[in-house]
Amino acid sequence: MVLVVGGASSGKSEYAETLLMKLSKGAPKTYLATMESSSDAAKTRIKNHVRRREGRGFDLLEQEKNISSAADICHKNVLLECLPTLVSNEMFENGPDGFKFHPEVSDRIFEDVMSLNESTDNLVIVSNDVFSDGKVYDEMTEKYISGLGELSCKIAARADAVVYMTAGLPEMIKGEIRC
Amino acid sequence: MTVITGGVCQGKKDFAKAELGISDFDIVSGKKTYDVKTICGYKAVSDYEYIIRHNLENGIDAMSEFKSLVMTNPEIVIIASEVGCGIIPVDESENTFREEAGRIMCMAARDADAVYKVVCGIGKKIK
Repeated sequence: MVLVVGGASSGKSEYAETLLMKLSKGAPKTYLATMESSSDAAKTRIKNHVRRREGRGFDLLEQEKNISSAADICHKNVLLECLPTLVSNEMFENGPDGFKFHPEVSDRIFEDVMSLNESTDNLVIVSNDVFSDGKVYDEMTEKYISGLGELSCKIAARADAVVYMTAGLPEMIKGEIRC
Repeated sequence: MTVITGGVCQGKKDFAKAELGISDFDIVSGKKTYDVKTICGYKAVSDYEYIIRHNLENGIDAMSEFKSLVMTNPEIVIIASEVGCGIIPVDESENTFREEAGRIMCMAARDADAVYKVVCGIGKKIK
């Protein structure tokens, strides 16, 4: 399991895709997407990602939450993109009964990620560094940041390698990747 | 002095405990006290950025307070979040806080024997 972290548009996705292509050695790959395509901005971002993945042999699976339930239908090589969206989907629910807030989701998401990891040969996870802007947010956002932070630490502790991306350049902050 | 920095909720305190062999009893949080004398009685202070914020909000010279802390306890471990990576705040006092925190951390790192940056619970010695 490899965790790829970095700021916005730092080349995380492209690095993660290329990495999984190498690790999977031609075996089928699943792109497990967590982003809901509700807004125009999200649709544009998704379109850009889809265009880049063309010809790279990823099968797309959209799963906004409960990712462990996707484990059975994923290939053995999975790119999970991305943790911040997954945490947001699990924590903030806009259902038919209105808005619901589930602050304590990070342990369950961690279990989901671990169960997905067990059912795969290679799992590459993309996350985002949202932790260094020095702002104090409202209570819900603070809960979100700490939930994502805890989840990232736990996944990193179990990962074989952790990569920090800056301006498209990977820095190995844990382990090494052989492929 | 040892400095441990990184984003919020990145496991800086746990890293400090594991790397430096200190316990929760050795660490005082900047969310609980701003008093230099009290802090000096501990091996480490966490959430130091809260102390900087408090000092600025109360018209106290944050840099002088920091210098006096390090002078009294030169072996102290300073654990503070990085705060300067977002958009420049429109609010003047938020902007002042970020800049003062940045300057204090630069000085701390310059004078420290060791500086670590923690990302996702993984610490890297950067000095």
